Amino acid sequence: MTMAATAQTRGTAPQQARGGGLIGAVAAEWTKLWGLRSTWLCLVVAVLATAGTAALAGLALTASDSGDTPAANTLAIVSTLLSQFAVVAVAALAVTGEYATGAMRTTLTTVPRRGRMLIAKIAVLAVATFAAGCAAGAATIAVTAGVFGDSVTYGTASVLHGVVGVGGYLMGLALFTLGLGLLMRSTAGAITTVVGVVLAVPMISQMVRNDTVTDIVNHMPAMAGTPLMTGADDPYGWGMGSLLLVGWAALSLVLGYVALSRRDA
Amino acid sequence: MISLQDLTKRYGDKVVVDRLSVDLTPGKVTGFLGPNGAGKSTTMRMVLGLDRPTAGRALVEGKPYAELRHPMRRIGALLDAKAVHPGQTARNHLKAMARSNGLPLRRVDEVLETVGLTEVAGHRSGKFSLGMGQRLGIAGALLGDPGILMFDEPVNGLDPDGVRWIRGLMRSLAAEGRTVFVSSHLMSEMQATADQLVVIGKGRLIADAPVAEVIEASSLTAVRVRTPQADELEQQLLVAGMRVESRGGDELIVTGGTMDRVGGVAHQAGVRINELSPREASLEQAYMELTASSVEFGAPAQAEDSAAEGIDEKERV
Repeated sequence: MTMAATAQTRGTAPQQARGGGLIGAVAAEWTKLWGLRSTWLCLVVAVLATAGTAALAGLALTASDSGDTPAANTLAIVSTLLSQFAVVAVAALAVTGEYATGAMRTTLTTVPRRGRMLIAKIAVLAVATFAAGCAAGAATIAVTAGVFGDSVTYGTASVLHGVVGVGGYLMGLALFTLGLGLLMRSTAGAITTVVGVVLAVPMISQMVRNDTVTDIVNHMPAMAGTPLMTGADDPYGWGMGSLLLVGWAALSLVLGYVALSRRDA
Repeated sequence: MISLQDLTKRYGDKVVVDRLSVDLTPGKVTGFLGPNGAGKSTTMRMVLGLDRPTAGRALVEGKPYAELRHPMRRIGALLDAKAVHPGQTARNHLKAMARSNGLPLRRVDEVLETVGLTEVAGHRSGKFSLGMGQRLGIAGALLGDPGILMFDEPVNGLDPDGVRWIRGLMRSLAAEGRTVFVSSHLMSEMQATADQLVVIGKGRLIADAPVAEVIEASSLTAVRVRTPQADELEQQLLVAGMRVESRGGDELIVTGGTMDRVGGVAHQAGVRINELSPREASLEQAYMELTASSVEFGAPAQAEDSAAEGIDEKERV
């Protein structure tokens, strides 16, 4: 490390008021997201774990030899069951990682408008998680083809649900997590809550077997994502599922925004 | 320029910053002085819009911080604790900052050069020493080439080399006509760098004056006289309305008069003088006097209270 003997501070920053704004905020968030090893690690793990789970589930299905002809997206749900939490981690860390390290103070001094900062984070995270989700979905289809061979049917719908549906579901879940992260400012808190909502609540509801409870749980994020990935129509189709998912993400983000603008950084 | 207008911050019923009104002027290093927990960091966070004032406001170039179009071009800040993600490299951290304010990326390399971090620009900041972390923070503050710079305890934890570097940097920034606002709980540090002093205790303004004035106003600023006719001179000085303290032998400490006046009295009385020298109070002494006379710091129980507050401020991020 060398030290400048006399500080040369007058720089060449042009003083005209250009750039920055929302586009600058998005560029900054993009730079930060991909500058972290944890982002790459989590997203690569998400894709690999999806493919790995698909392979195991596929082999288990062929062993049981049901004689059904699988569609391209048959394994979509089961293969993302665990890997979705790697995407959830990226989403949570996008804010909780900054709160934990103090980097949020830099973020908010460079982009002091809370709404602009949040929109930038949403945009960047949406793109990253949608892309990773589509890659994971495509990997699942590739594994399905490898395991089942010629018996797989490739309808346009099943491929779309298997790729774009998985991407959409993981994106929605990521934005839902982002809002919780702003609300809780704790990585563990946000991730645990999402695990609870996505895994624990449906399991408990199955044990309870109460119609009202089942109905409510059927409209929560995990179940709302199911028709996106499967293309099923029961209890509702992928359109309704998408709306529900957007609704959950929006609710969590609005609460997160309120916390962001009311509480001291 | 920074303008604080009746700036107040309350947590529950505890007042951390109490109706603080100060204007900071360009071309000077203004020292922001007060014991730990006096409300310095909270004040700076309110200037940056990180904490919301309970009452009053803090304006940067006449606007609340959040309304600045390109805040980094107006004001650069180094906060007390690290505000960098340890997983980011120094260069990437600065790149993200530059992009957020539409600054050209060549500024990143310029400021890395200025603070001497060029060689470690590709290293993740989590591996940095405290001093390197401070330098990275300063690089971020300088990135937008702003007219105002605000440093919260910049020399904390630095080695003597680093301390000297930061002093020089602050002086040169002020010499370029910028507003430099530096907080410290170390009086000696401020004596070495500041032109103007803003002293607070318990969130309240105690003094806002040039450093020289603060020292001059101290009762500890005095004239030292050595004379073989000490008793005779003491009488004459008392008659002239000055306060005299005899140090035994031939030494007198005179307060309430300048060196010229003491010399004049001695001349008239025909007293022989062996030494006539100024004894300046250190800023530290002047500061202790200032804060001691403010009621809040009188009782020992209150002093403990302020120490506890210091811990609070560190914990609350």
